[in-house]
Amino acid sequence: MTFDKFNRRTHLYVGLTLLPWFFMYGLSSFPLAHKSAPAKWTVRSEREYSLPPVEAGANLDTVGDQLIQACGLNADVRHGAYRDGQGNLQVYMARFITPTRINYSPAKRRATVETRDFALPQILVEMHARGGFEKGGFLDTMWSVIVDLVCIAIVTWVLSGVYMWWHLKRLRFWGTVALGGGIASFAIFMLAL
Amino acid sequence: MFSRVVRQTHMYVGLFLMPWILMYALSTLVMNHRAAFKEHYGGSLVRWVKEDERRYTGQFAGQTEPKVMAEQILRELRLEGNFAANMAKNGARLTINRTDPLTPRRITYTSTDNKLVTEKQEFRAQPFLESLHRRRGYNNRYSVDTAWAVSVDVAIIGILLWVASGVWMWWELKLTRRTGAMCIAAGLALFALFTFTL
Repeated sequence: MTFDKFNRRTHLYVGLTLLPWFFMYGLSSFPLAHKSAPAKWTVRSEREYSLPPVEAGANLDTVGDQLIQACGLNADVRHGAYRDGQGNLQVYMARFITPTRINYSPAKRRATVETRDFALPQILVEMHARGGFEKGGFLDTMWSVIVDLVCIAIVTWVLSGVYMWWHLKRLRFWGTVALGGGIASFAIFMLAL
Repeated sequence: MFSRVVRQTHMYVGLFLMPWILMYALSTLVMNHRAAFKEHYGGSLVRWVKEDERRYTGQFAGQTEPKVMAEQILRELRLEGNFAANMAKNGARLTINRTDPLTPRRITYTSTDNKLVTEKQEFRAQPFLESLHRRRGYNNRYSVDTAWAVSVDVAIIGILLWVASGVWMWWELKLTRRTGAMCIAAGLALFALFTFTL
């Protein structure tokens, strides 16, 4: 097999395998760029609950674990705890289709568990934003590995695409115009933004 | 003829959008490894370096909005462009983040002593790429930012176009249909597994 053929086949087969990710990243960018309407959440349970006061520099992940256990939920799901700026705590348990959140109000001494209603734009945004190797179990790590693979594949597509274009001698002029126009536009943005 | 249009569109759109696509791919990589970069940079992704400190002689009317104050300060410093302004709760300190992609700046104005401190962010690959990745939307007053938002939309359309034209071009190559179908099936199966388990 010649390098030319190997390059074409790699460009094609890697592209086809990673097609769902590429499609997802493209589609999910629309609600991110144009701010879609917020999703609706349904209250699943509500209970009286009281935590000792959470200090300013406290590890919120530990507090989040406590809240998850108190609400009878599974702490194995990737999650994070945040302050909402009004003295309340929120624990977000990430799932692509039905994420769950716990809203804890120290003032009302109440913990509310909610799940997000099915909403395709939010599912896509959730997938788009998922990544990193800090939290989560085996599947989370595998997802992050695939995110890396998609990025490497995109760089490979760009390089193999440029290689294929360069070997089409009759398209070199207009290709140079397109490539030069893109690089120049991008450089102008970098200087003008 | 249609096939030729599809192939050439796939190629020319790809060549024009190359800088955006490379930026999105590389920025996703560095965002996926944020913790490693944080460690590499010694605990914090960004580092501010003081660039200038001066007395500010400009005046503001009593109830001037932080945004208007920020615009006036940036104009006088010749640093006009997209920014975010935040006034401290006691009204004594205004922080302006000038979101220049290459050299982001933080300008702090304290009304008690009329001091104006300008800091610039040390150039680092991770925050540079991440800030470009996150830059989007039409909710701003600068035409160059609106043009950038349009370019982001064009890049999104470009990605969807590559997916569609890529599948079309593959289907035209009878020789690669079987292996290609296996690749698509494997990708879809893996994606479905993640969708329903994560």
